Amino acid sequence: MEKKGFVQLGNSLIDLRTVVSDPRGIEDGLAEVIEADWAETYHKGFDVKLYPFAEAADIADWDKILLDTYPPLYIDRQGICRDCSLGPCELEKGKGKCGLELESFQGKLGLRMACRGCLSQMMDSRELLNYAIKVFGRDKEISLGQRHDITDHAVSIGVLTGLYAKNLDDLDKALSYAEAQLNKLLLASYSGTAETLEFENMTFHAGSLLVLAMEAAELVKTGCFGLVSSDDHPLEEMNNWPPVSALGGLGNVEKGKPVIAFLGDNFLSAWIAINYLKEKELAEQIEICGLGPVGHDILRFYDKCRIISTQVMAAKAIRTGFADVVVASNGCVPVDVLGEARRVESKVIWTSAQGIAGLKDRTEDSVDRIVKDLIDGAEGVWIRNAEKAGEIAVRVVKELKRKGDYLLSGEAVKKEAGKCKEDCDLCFNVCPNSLLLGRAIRKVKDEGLKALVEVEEGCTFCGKCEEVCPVNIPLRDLIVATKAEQAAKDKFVMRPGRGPIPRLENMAGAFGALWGNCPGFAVLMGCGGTKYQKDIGWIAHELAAECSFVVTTGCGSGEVAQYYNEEEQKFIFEEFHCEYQPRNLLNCGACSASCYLRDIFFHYSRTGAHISHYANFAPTADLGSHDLGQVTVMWGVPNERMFALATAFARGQDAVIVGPESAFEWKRFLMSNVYDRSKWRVWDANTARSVETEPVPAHFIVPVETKEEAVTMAFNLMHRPFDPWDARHVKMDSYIRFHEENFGELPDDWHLYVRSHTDLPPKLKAKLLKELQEKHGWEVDRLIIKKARHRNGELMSLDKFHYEYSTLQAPYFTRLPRLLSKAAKEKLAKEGVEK
Amino acid sequence: MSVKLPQELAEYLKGQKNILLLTGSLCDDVDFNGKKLLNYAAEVSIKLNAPVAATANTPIGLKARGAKSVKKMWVAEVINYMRHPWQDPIMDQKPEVLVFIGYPPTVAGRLASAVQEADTVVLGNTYIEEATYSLPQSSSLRQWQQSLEQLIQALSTP
Repeated sequence: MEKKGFVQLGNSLIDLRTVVSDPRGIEDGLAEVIEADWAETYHKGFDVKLYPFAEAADIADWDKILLDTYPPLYIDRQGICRDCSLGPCELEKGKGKCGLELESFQGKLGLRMACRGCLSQMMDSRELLNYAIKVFGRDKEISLGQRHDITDHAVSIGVLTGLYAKNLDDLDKALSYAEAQLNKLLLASYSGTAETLEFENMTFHAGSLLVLAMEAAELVKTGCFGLVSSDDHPLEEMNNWPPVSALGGLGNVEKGKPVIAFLGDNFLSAWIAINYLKEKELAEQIEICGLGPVGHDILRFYDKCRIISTQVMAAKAIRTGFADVVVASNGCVPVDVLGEARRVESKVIWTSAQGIAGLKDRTEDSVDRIVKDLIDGAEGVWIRNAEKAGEIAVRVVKELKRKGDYLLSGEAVKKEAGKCKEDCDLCFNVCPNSLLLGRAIRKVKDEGLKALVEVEEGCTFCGKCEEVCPVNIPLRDLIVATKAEQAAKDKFVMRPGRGPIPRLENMAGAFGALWGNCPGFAVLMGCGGTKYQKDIGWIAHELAAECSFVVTTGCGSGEVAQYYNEEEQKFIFEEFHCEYQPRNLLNCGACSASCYLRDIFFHYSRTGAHISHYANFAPTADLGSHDLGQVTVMWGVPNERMFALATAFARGQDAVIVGPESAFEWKRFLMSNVYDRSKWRVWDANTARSVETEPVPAHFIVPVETKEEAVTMAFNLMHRPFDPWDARHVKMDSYIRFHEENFGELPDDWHLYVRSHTDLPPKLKAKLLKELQEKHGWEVDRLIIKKARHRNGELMSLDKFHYEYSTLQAPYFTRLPRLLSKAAKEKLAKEGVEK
Repeated sequence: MSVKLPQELAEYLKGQKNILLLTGSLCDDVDFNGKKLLNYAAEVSIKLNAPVAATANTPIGLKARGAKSVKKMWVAEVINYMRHPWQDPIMDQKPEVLVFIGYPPTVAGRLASAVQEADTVVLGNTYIEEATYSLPQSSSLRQWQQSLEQLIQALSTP
């Protein structure tokens, strides 16, 4: 850099004040980014404005464009605000005393939910980073592996902060920024009096901060603690790396071996405990199991870990008594770990910075003393020191002796079940999954526990049934007895997480996607607790079999892994390869690995148009998904972290499907009205022409009820405005076929996506052309469309149709007027003057 | 907001225009000793001569049971369309009454809470506070079945 505040880029001398509103104090960082990542031609053609360390309001223009087409649909509307001492205010009767309106209040509650979802990850990332700084120092370089390119893989950090993050000190700056932002958002979620869309803008921002925190955690876990990463492996290995080596399910826990189960987010204590095991050569003698996200982290450095359950379903697993020691921490949803462990005499080691009711802080006590107390009968301890916790867990599990008979006997089960009244289904009324529990219980006397197998799978263990049971049947004990009896059959195999998707693999994947037979990209996440546990695996299978890219992260990968294809006699991870290509199934790792899925899509703006993502959210999101249809399916009991993550994905133009029924507990959805043509316009960035497009994707966050709806909706939402011809017909083929197979009729919106006969899937072409001609008034000659019927009613040539309805003749388009080229803006200004 | 006995609910529904019936996933999952909830949903639509927004996987079964004017829809889409000028092809005018059957109580309550400009009726097994009207609380599947049968019988009488 020649002089402070200026950067030389090719032949252009860039004054940082024209790029950033206030560059003071960040000049060096900005210069580094511009020199490394900018293209001079783009800078010359467009006004580039950067927003380093972005506030929510800095990205508000982008968010409002999205929200204009996809306005929030609030369900479970709350009418009474009790957020301050002036209240309560009945907002259905008018504004609150602070001026807050009913609709805005719903937005405010949504923001609160997103902040809560962000908090636990933020805290976990902070604890991990602080520990890493303590152990490795601030200058420790962060890398995801030998092939790692920081410009690709710290994208979620870079896009918000402008930081070219290279070491732990940079991560500290990024996380400090995120924490300060989250504080502001939290404050607004309680005392804010903003309008609805402003709250939604902040909710989007909370989601983006969550992904930043996830990325920080991933960089530390991989860069400092050695979690395996695809960045350390050549592309030619990726078809089968990592191998399908991990065993999951209670049936794969070796009987007779002591068991340590790790629960929650805290990866550190697991990492330390397992290294301690290895060091003491005890690994073969002790079973390590995962409950919740931490299990998927463990698999990336110890593939002997057994994945047992999601965080949501952990309580049920603990009550089976399979674990001798449970090392637990905060996670995405709270679990009554002490209550459940107490029933089966498992010992609890709580490791979060915050305490847990019933356990004393023993951090300062000696390891020997704590081990003795636990062996002598203490229920558990709270240890705020991961190193100590890891050692204690191993030493206790070696010495602990438990009775081992905690389950109801067959006779006791029948006796309890015999109390069930013939004409009572109160448990059905309150069951979140509407399980026909009473009917199943009444069959136990004849069929034994076999009668409960189906309801056991669908039971979320919430206990509401027990609260209403008039004869006090311990229903959850019956459920657990069933689970334990079925444990031997609870077996599956899976690939451990692979970490990121490196640049080369990503680019090869993009080539595969555009070749012509891939409908899109699907991400599957699942928190468990659904009525039919295998549904998420079925969804993954159908999407992959239709040639989509399918990636799983978090607890969802364990849920997906349980899908067994009877025809192929294979578990799903055995059935599909795992390179980032169509018809493959990848597992990235724990929940925090979800950041890689944002990264790869943000990366396309750089690859496709050389637009740097640094401090440049709106253009990155705007361009990234023009023709790459990514859909995320979040399946299972919803929690705040998923709510925030879904919001982050939607902000980056990934469509999110949530289901099944429990997803309706989410506060809000982002859904468009495809019939309102005014909402479906973009700008030709080069000419400033406003163009009407197909109404795609129809929604950004939408709930569905069944797995069939999920898959069909996924194919619908994979449509993007700038789909190549082949990709469009593949998407339409899958969408229409699944719709017909599952619902017996054509979808009512397919014709809105047709730009030409080349868009129509060959097998359905004759039928669809007939429909276009007879029902929609298009002019068709055999298998050729001669004239198209515009949505305005005019019958027109295909050339005119493409010009007026599609982006085919506006190859570089944008939703945001400020992203028009300089030439286009000048043209607009000139027209304005002339007018 | 309030409970109506099946006969009262039938009288109310007979007096309404532009009714849209929504059928959810429980229509396929719940059966009353051999007779599915889907059968009752089809009967209600036939008696009311109301179009059906068949959500979840219900369209094929409804058509097989003789329901007319059945169209596959996604339940949140129906609720979403209700807040815009009505342009959906399932019926010409915006529905004035949405009748939900086959949705778990929490789902039905949340959907009803989002409907602003129409009455909502839930034909479920529990009282739904957010709905304009719902059937009485049933303590058993048999009671729910009785309510549905009484409703259909009352809808049959002129």
